[in-house]
Parts: sequence; structure tokens; C-alpha cells
Amino acid sequence: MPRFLILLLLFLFSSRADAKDSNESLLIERHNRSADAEIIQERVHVAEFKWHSTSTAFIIVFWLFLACIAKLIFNRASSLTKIFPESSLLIAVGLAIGVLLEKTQVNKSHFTLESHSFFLYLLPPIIFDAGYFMPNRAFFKNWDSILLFSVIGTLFNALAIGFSLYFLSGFIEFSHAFTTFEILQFSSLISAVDPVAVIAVFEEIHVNDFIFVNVFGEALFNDGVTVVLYELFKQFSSLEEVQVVDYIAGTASFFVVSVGGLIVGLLAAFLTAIFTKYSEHVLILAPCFILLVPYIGYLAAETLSLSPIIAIAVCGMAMKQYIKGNVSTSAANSVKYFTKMLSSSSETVIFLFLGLSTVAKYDIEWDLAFIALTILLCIVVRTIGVIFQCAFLNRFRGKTFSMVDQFILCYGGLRGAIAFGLASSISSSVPAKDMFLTATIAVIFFTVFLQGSTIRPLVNYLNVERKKTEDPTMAETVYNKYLDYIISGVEDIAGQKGHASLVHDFERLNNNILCPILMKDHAKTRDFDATKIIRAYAKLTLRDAMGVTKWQPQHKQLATIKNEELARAQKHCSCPSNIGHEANCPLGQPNMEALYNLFSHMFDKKMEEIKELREAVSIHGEEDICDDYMAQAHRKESLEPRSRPLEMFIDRGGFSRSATENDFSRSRSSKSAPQFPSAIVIHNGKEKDDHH
Amino acid sequence: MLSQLEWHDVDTPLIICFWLTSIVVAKIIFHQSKIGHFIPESSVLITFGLFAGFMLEYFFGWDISLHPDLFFLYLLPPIALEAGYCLPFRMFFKNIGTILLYAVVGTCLNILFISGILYLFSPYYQNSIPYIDLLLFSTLISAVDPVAVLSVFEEIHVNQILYINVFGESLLNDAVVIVLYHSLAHMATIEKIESEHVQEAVGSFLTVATGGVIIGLLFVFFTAFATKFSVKIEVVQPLICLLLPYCCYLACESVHMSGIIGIVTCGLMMKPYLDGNLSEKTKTTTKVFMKTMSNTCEAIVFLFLGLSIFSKSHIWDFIFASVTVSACVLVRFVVVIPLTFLANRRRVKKIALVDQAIIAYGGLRGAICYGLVQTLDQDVILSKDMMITTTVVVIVFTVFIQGSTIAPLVKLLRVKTEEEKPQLISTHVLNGFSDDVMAGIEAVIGKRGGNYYRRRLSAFNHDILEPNLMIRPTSRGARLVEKVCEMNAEESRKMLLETFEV
Repeated sequence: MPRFLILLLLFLFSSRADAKDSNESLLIERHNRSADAEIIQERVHVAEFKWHSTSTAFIIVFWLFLACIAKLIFNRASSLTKIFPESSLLIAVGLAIGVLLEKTQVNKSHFTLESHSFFLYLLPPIIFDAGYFMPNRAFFKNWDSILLFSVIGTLFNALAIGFSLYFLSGFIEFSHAFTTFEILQFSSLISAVDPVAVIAVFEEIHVNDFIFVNVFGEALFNDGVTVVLYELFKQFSSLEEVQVVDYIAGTASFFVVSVGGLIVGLLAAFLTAIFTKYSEHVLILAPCFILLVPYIGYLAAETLSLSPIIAIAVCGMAMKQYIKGNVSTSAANSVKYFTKMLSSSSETVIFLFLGLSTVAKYDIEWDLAFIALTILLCIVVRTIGVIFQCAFLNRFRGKTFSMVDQFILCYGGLRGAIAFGLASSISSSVPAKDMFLTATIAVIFFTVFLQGSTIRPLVNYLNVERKKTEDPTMAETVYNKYLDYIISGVEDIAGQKGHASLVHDFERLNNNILCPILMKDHAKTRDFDATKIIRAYAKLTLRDAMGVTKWQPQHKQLATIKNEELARAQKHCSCPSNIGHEANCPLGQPNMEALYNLFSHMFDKKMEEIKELREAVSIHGEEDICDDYMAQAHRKESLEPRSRPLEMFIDRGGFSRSATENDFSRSRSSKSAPQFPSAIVIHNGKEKDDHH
Repeated sequence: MLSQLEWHDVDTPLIICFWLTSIVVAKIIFHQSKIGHFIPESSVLITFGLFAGFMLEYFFGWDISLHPDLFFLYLLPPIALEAGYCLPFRMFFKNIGTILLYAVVGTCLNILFISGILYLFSPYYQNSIPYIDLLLFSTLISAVDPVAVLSVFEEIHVNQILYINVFGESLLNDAVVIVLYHSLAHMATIEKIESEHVQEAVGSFLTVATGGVIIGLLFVFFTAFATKFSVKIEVVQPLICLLLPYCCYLACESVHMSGIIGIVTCGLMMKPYLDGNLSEKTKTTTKVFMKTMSNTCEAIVFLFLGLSIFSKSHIWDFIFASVTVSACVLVRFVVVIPLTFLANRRRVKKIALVDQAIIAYGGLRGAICYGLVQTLDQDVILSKDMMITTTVVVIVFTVFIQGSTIAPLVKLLRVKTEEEKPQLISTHVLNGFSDDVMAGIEAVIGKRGGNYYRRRLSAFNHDILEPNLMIRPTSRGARLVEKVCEMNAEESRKMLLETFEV
């Protein structure tokens, strides 16, 4: 681990410099004061060192960079990451750095996680990423269970943990006494499953969509409940006496906070879609506001004391569809990468800081009984809650929660940084604050370390169904859709307004009203929106095209088709692959020679091929061409040769022509090859459209 | 309480986001309406800022100006990085002589002449300004902003020589101006200037510039290494490509080297290595984000410019302003023409007279001038407010008047345009071929010219640097093959998509 040591050294250097910085500024002040007294002979400096002016920027960059390096190292040390989840390793690194800093007595205040910066800067990218990459279909299929888990489940958890701790405090002497509302405040923050921790762990173990969406949806959307409960009990504990009005207001604020967050999120999504719709001339700015507007939504929700997490997650989920239709592929790709990049680095930074602030900031107050009871209660209450809710849900659902599913649901209830942030913002007038904080840290560590690292073996042992590694094929998607339509039809006949018909109604609304407003050149379809399929088709063709031209060994199988022409194409394919091999050796005289030889060789072959082709065309005539699109297009092209850049290309450069032509024949071959599902699928889609 | 307002918690990020969004909206509206063909984009942003500034001033009494730290630490680096990264590598090094001539000698002459003219007229100003202050002012006013001109050039496809010269000049000219500015700003604090001060200033100019280049190169290694080892985790790669150059900038600044030279060098040199280490997708992401960020940062500076027009602290000196404007325009012509004459003596491809006129006329002032004038120290330079006013006037004049007339001018003068033609593999091959032949001829006649060194450098790069820094070292042949692949993929994609539309 020499790299690791270097990293630590770097870190120390920067923190030391920072500590010096404060001294320096003092010195400068003194210096300035004395400047009046004596005239200093100032000279032009050839070089100088000034840290203070760049320190803020440096610290930010440094942390981001550290996050990168940590990721790099964990990726290299794969034996370690197989046992522990990345999040726990990061906490451990943070702890180590914290201890080091403690020993070297660096100014602590620079290296602790302020709950302010956590909620304003680190959390939004992660939640946005979660919303943006949420499997929408799976989510809406499970909306009932997610809602139940995140509202009733969290409420139950908070109340049960709180009251049992309060009850137990009658028997056991904890180190600090607390009132009912104080303990309820604590229990509401500890009962919330943390989306950051859940993503971090579940992304690595790849469980199936069903479980993932349930755990993850719960973690995302229980935020509304948690924050409301927390704020409510905070206010209650400061009130002299709590009246009935307060309880009613509290209950109402649930709805205000969650629904408000939802509305703000939808509004932000709407704005983003509108902006992107008109952004064709400022394409380069598109990524900027795709990221900005949801963030504004987050901040606006925070300002209005609504649930910002719900707002930004909903915004990400809602805008995805429209964004993809409106911006260019490269912009969409960049947004995708950038979101992933931001979220993964802020996730890393959060876990690092979690470890760090544990050591650096707080006075730890161990109360073993309290901690042990909290952990125990967290597990027990969650288990009871999940079992009852699943039993209830299973009575009404088509897809039921099996025992294994329920177990993973219970076990995946990880706590994380949000709880920590909330715990550190408990007002210091609460006497038991330090105890609560320590217990929170303990619960987080317990869940992230113990549960996080054992969940993978457990998932293996219990044989939980894994996530499908391959994307659904076109046919699968289309048939799924088809099934939805049928179900909604059946529901219609049965005279029942169920899930499927709701979805159908929404889709109709989406196609008739939303899409024309929010998307540019939206195809005017009334019932069935084909743009998705078209987009998927475009993607597939692109992939095919890339695959064909990339000269991978795989395309050799392509060419095993009997067709005579294909066989010829295959013969020519072999020459480009030669280039690949020969060109790999360093540039030099012999190499250049080889290259030119190769080109002349290819050129000869090309001439030969063209001759053959002419003959072939005259023999085969038209019939061959009409049965597929590809050849048709090809023919059209040959009718108007001047308009195509390729022809210019042939005019100018002899050798280049051979390579391109060569590929033409190959792309033609790929099209008639059986591995071309996209075209077939499209027919399906169209047929279905007609039927409907 | 059902709901409450917590403004103070989130005000900073919210304000930032709000401004950014309003910039985007302004740009979208500008491009949706048709006025985009007549006036440059920057003028719209200035106008928008003007309105916003007026509103804020009128209703709230806020006085907004650009804080130097904000400009130098956060707004300038992305602009510089993007400029370096997107510079056409080969063309740049082919024309480096001319570009350096314009950027270094041209800028210095510009500064000297402008300050001379300003000094000549100094008895007529409202308050007397010492020569060193005038020199400082003329330094910062000589920074040429490429954006407006380049957008015009890109629209009408001017010939490549003109393009690269203007682009390269304005890029390096910023660096030169900033370095000179810093050393002059330091000199302005000294009461009596002696000859050794000047010597030291020249010395510091050289150290600062070379120091920037060295640190930049160092960070090229870091970036290449980091991307090499992060091939498996693509998520981190774009972050590294954006972070490390910024790190480079900060490192340069903290050891008082030229951050801008550092980051430009880093951006320029790291590109070939990144091409080898990044996947297609991460490459696009990096590029798109660099462009987005630089675009946004530039817009912010122009917005600030507009905002500050309504500031209370403006001091108008009509004579000073008009002298500055006319000096800026005239001196550029005076400097460009003899320098081009010099350059043409050594060039094979001459720069035409019309091109010279465009180069001279295209000297718009922009973001950098404004950022620099804001960083002047009020205590040292007493007439700072007047300088700010004048700078704003110069920028507004050049952006609005020159910027909107340059496109018609280019058409009127019939500047040689480049037809847009597809990238040909054969040109690619032949270029490499001609380079080799030239190097061979030079070897035969026993002369060590540019081609010899180019070849040596490329051999060094190929034998030592690339294997260490890149995940898949590329030879010219391999690059060629890759290019063919790319073109083929594009072709086939087009055809497949066409099929679908049929």
C-alpha cells in the first residue's frame, strides 16, 4: 500500500498548510500594522508562495480528488471489496484519517461534515442520480408497497422504537434522562432507512429489481415522513404543552410536506423539459440546466420546508423521458455520466466524512445499554413491521413477497448519513444529545459494517434471484407493453378501475397533452407512443453498425451465412484485421513500408472486387435488391453518387476507398444476417399499434 | 406551523442557480428569435445584465461587481481549460511562430503604443494619472477576447490559417497579458521605480511563464497516469480530467506562477494521451462538460459586466474614454500589419492583406479585461473607478459595434473561406507522408529544422511517453485504422437509419 501512504502524506501536507494558513493570516495582520511604522523596502518577487488565496478551492478539489483516488484503490484491491462493501471501507479510511488528524492536532473544524453542507451540496446529487436512474416501470408497479413501507412502516418504526425506549428507561438507568418527545425525536431519525447507504450496498450485490425498488423506494420516500416527524417532535419538545390542535397540524404537515415536495419536483421537471425543448441552438448549455433546474427544485423545497429529497427524486424520475427526447445523444450521455460521477464522488466524500467526523468533532458518550437496546430495537421493530406489512400486502398483490424477500427487506434497512446529519442538528439544549449522537453513529456503523458486509454472502446463500445482467430485448419490452394493454382492457370489461387502467389513462394524458408541450417534434400519436421504440431501434442500429465495423472476432460468425456475396465480404474482412496487427508495432521505417504495402494490397483487392461486383449486379438484377431495405438504400445511393461524401472520398484517395467499400459489403451482409432482431421487433410494434 | 420559509439557509446556492438559469433562459430566447444573425451573443448577455442591474439598482439599491477571487479562481480556469483542450493541435504547432509573434511581441507593442497615446493626452484628463498606472491599464485593455470573433468565423468557415492565428493569438495573448499585469501591478505599489525593478519584472515574467509551462506538463503526466489506472471505473475518468487541470491551475497560482499558462498547457498536451485512455463515452462527456462550463463562465462574466454598468461608482471621463477606444482600434492595425510583414517573410503560406484587416478588426475586448480591471487595487491605483468605466465602454463599443459589423465585413472583403469537406483519410495519410519526406530532405541536406525536431519529439513521445502514460499506445497506423473504423461506423449508421426511415 505505498500509494496509500503517499495519499495520507498528501493529506497531512494540505491540512498542515491549512493550519499554518490561519497563523499566516495573523502574521500578515501584524505585519500590516507594523507597516505604518517602518517603511518596508518591497521588491518585485521572482517567485513566491501564496496559499491563502487558493485554499478554499484547493480544499474542495482535494476532497474530490481523494474520493477519486479512494475509488481507484478499492477498484484495484478487489479482494478487499469482495468482503466489505465500499461504504464501510470508506468509513474505515475516514476513521483512520480522523485518528491521524487527532494525533497531529490539526485544526478540526476544517475536516468535519457540517450538516449544512451535507444537506445542501453532497446529498442532492445522490438523490437526483437515484431518481434519474430509477427503473420507472418497476417503481410504478410497486407503488403501493413502497408507499406503505415508507409511510406506515416508518411511522410504526419511529413510534415503536421511541415508546419502547421510553418504556425501558423506566427500568434501566441510562446515562442521561430524556423526555418523551426527545426520545421520539431520536427514534424518528434512527428509524429512517438511508437512501445513500442502500444505494451503496445494493448496487454492489445486484439483487433483482423487485426487491431493489422496494427497499430503495422506501428509503427515498420515507424522507418526507422522517423529516416531518423529526421537526414535529422537535417543536413539541420545545412547546410548553401540546394541544390537540398541534397534533392535527402535525398530521396535516405530513401531507403538506410530502405532496408539496412532489409538486415542486414535478414543477422543476416541467421547467427542465420546457427548457430543453427550446435548447436546440444552445445545445452546449443543455447539460448545465438539466442539472441546475432540479437543484433549484431541491433548494426551493428546502426553502419552503417541504421535503427536498422527494422533490429532487421526483424531478429526476419525471423529466427523464422528456429530456431524452429533447437533447442530443452526446448531451444525454454526458448528463448521465456527469450525474453518476457527481453522485459517486459525493457518496464517497460522505462516507469518508462520516468516519472522519466521528473522531474529529464529537465527544463520544458510550452508554452501552442504550446503544445495544437501540440496535436491538431497530432490528426487531423493523422485522415485525415488515412481516405484518408484507402479510397485509400479499393479500392484495399479484406478485407476493416471499420469505426470502421479506428477510432481505428487513436486513437491507441500512442507516446512514442522513440520520447522522439530523442527529448532529439536535439542539444542544437536549441533555442527552451526545448519547443520541453516539447511538446514531453506532447504529450506522453496525448496519453499514455488519449488515452491509454480510448481506452479500446471505444473498448468495439464500439464492435470491439476481438482477438480469442483460437488457430486456426489444421483443420483451414490446410484449410487456402489450400485456399492460390487455390487462387494462380486461379491467375495462370487468368494470374495475385498477392499476393497469390508471397507467393507461396516464399514458394517454402523456401522449396527448404532455408530450406535445414538453417535447420537440413529437410524433402526433393518440394512443400509442412509438418514440421510445424508435429511439431504441436507432440505438440498436447504431450498436449493430459499430459492431460490424469494429472488426471483432464476433463478426466472423456473421459471415458464415451461405450467401455467396457474404462469403466474399468475409474474404475481404481479413485484410483490415491485418492492419490492426501490423500497425501495433512502433512507428518506423519497416512499419511504414508494411503499411503502404498493405494499402496497395487492399487497393488491388478492391479493384478486383469492383469488377466482380459489376458482374454480380448485372447477373442478379433487381430482385435480389428489393427484398430488403438495406440494399434498396444502397441502390438509391448508387443512383446519385455525387451527393455523397464517400464518393468524393473515392475520387481523391485511392486506398481509403478500398477500406470503406469493403465495409459496405460487410454492413450489407450484417443486415441480412439472422442476428438482426431490431427490424423484426419493429414490425411487432407496428402491428400492435394497428390492433389497438 | 404547517410550512415556513427558510431563506437564509439556502440563499447562496439558490442565488447562484438562479443566475445560471437566467443566463440559460436568456441564451435560449436569444437563439430562438432571429436577432442572432446580426449581433454577437455576448452583447445580448450584456444587455440582459444591464436590465437586471438596472432593476436591482432601482428597486433594491444593490451594487454588484465581480469579485476578483471569483473571477480568477472559479470563472477563468474553465474558460482557459476549454480553450487549451479544443485547440487544433497540429495546426497550432505548425503556426506557432506566427502565433507567438502576434501574442507576445504584438501584445507588448500594443501595450506600449496604447500607453504612449494615453500618456500623450494625459493633460486633458480630469485627474492626473501616473504613467505606471496608464501602463497597467493599457496592459489589461490589450487582452483580446476570441469568443465573439470565433463564433463568426465558425459560422462562415474562414480559412484555417486565419482561424488558427486569431484563435492562438487571443489564447496566448490572455496569458501574456495576465502575467504582465501581475508584475506591473506589483511594480505599481513601489514608489520609486529603478532599472533593477524593470529587470526583475522581466525576469519574473520569464519565470512565471516557464514555471506555468513546467507545472502544466507535470500535471499532464498526472492526468495521463490517473486516467490510465482508472480505465475500469469510467465514472471517475471525466472527473479526473476536469479536476487535475484545475488542480494545476491552483498549484500554479499558489506558487505564483501563471495559472492560465499552466492550465492551457495542461489542456493542450493532455489531449492526445486522454484520447488513448478514455472510452468514447467518457471522452464525449469530458468534452461536453468543458464546453458547457466554459460557455457558462463566459456568460457569467458578461452578465456581471452588464450588471456593473449601473453601478454607482462610475466616473465618466469622456476624453479618456474616447482616447482609449480610438487608441485600441488604431494601435491594433498599426501593430498587426508590420508584424504580419515580418511573419510573411518566413512563411510559405502568406497571410493575405484582407486577412490582416480581419485580424486587426477582430480584436474585441471581453471577459478578461473586465475581470482584470476589477482586480485593481483601489488604494494603489486611485483612478480605478474611471478605469472600470472606460473598460466597460471599450468592451461595449467593441462587442456591439465591431462585433456586429465583422460578419458583413468578412463577406464584403471576400475573405477566403474554407469549403467544408469531409475528413479524408488520404489527406491524413499524405500529411504524415509529407512530414516524413520533409524530415528526410532536411536530413539529406544536413539541416536541423522544424521537421527534424518534430520527428524527434514524436519518436520520443512514441517510444517513451506513450507506453507509460497510455493504456493502448497508438502508432500512426493504428490511429489510421481507428479513423477508418470510425468513418465506417458513421457510414453504416447513416445507412441503417435511412433504411428505417424508408
